[in-house]
Amino acid sequence: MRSERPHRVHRHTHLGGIGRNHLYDNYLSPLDYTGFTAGYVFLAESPTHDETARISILKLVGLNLTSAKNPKKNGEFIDMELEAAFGCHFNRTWSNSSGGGNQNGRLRVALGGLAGLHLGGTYSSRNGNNPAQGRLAADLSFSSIAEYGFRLWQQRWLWRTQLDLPLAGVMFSPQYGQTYYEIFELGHTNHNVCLTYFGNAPSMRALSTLSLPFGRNRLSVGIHLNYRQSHLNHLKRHAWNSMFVLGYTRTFKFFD
Amino acid sequence: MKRISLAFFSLLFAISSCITSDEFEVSPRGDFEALWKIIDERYCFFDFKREEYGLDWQEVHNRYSHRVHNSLSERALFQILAKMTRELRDGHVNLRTPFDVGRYAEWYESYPSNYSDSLERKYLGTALQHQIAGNLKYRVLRNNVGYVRCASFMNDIGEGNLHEVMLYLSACDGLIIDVRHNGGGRLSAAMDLASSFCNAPLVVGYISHKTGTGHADFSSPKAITLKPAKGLRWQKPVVVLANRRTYSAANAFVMFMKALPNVTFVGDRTGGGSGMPFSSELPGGWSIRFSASPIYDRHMQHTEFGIEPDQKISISSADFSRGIDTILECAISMLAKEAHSSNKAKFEEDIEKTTVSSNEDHRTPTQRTLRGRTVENIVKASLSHDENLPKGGSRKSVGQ
Repeated sequence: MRSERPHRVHRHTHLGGIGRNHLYDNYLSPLDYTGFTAGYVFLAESPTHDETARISILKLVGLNLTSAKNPKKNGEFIDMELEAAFGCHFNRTWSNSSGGGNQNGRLRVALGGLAGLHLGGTYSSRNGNNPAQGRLAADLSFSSIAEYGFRLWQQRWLWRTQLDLPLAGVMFSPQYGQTYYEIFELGHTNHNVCLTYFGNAPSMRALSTLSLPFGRNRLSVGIHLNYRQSHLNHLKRHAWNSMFVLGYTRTFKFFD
Repeated sequence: MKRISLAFFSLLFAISSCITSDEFEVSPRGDFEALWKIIDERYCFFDFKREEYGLDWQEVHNRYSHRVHNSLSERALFQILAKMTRELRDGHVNLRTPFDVGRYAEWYESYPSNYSDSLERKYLGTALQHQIAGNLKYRVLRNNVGYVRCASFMNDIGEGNLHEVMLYLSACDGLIIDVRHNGGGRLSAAMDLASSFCNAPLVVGYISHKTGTGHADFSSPKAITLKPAKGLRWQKPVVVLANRRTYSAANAFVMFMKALPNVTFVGDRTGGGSGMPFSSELPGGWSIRFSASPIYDRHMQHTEFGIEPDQKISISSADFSRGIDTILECAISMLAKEAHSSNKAKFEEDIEKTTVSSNEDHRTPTQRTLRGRTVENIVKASLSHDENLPKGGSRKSVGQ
């Protein structure tokens, strides 16, 4: 006999977005580049057992492409960033619902950590021996989620906000004046793998969405802020990415 | 609630330090300060040039700063900035604008050319008389001397191309590699060509890079090792021809070849340019290229101002008017003379072999070796090669 409550509830969220990216990498240029960015974010959340479980698993994949120009519009950066993160959260839920599964006034707060992997690069259209900067990093982040479900206009709305703050990790970086030719052709490495922490790589991701039911899914609209920064080997970089996102969430319920 | 969360995020982020760019105003003053700072923090030859001719970059700033004001026209500003960059006496320092390129050219303009394309055409002959493989033009000259003209390293030289050139010239008694007026290009292309003359890994130079913004912030120099080509490798004498326009990657090629035992460098001093250049840009949109990563020779000496030839020789006016390339003729004579000596030694060796019946080697040390090689090697192995010859293709490369 099937139980009334699902044993596992998986939520898959697909978000696509467009926005602005603000790039700076002094290995390539001393100037700020700004331009159009487009991205995709996939989130998969699943409690370890049932919906009331205190531990939940989060998987995140993000891809971002940017075309940015210098202030005089005669130089271009093409930037790509791929990231994947996996982690878990400890959940606490408060609800003032009157039973029957009504989500009115249901607040969930989740705190946990994510292990992330970042791969990317920036290509400059006007440089010679330093035409591009590659990026490879792994980090551990503090992650928090706040989710509030409420009824409005006879619809069940869900506001969800996630904030991730990388605390420590490792990151590849050439030395200040080191060419990639020297690293990869001659094999001369020189502290090219750097330890990172919040002081030398202060970064954050914030994703805030508001969603409402649409058929069997939920439509979501929100903002995604992904601010990546680093200051390693005297090389400074930032990518301040802000996107308006639109997408949907599918919920998969698994019964015994 | 959404506003509160955004404010919360903003506060959290504000607590952490934002990493921002240097602020330069978009104006002639901003361009001047940005250019000076970029060079000040990233240029790699300040200490060397202070010792060579007393370069003081701070003094340069003081001297030029008062000439710059925001009412300057673009061309007037360019004249000032280009003149300031010429204080570095570096052909790799170029200020690029839509209307001109600021450059230092005295490294070749103040010296005889020692090269003529009309003379080159005369020696290479018609299209039917010479071959082309990648960047290389080649043919057999008189006295059975092979000639390879390499005018640029801008493109990679495929291993298959090098193999074909070596195979075609394998019957020659000596080889001339002409890199006069070769302004450089990819350092990897220069290494690929030099690897055809090397039988074992050999340290041919050193490279270093800046580790910070200070003038003396450099990494410990690390060896540049020339690895033998996988294809055919030349074993007989080689003469490298260079002139003042032999620059950058071509200068490095000469530096690599000078480390090899069978090689003689003939012609004029090279132009130098031993810093691997980086690019950057100014707030006004102009770009600047500068030497960022110094390369030293195998004795840890700078070659930024060129490499002295083993035999310095120039094209005389009389020869030029008669259509004779004095430098090339000198190289042909040297190799012909060397071949004659080698053939004589081989002949004596053959005579000795027919008269000596025992297994003992009664030759004198002089007979046994010639320029560090055994006579047998000269005869049997004018070329050596690895079995697994790659079928052409190019390597990842970097320009210089």
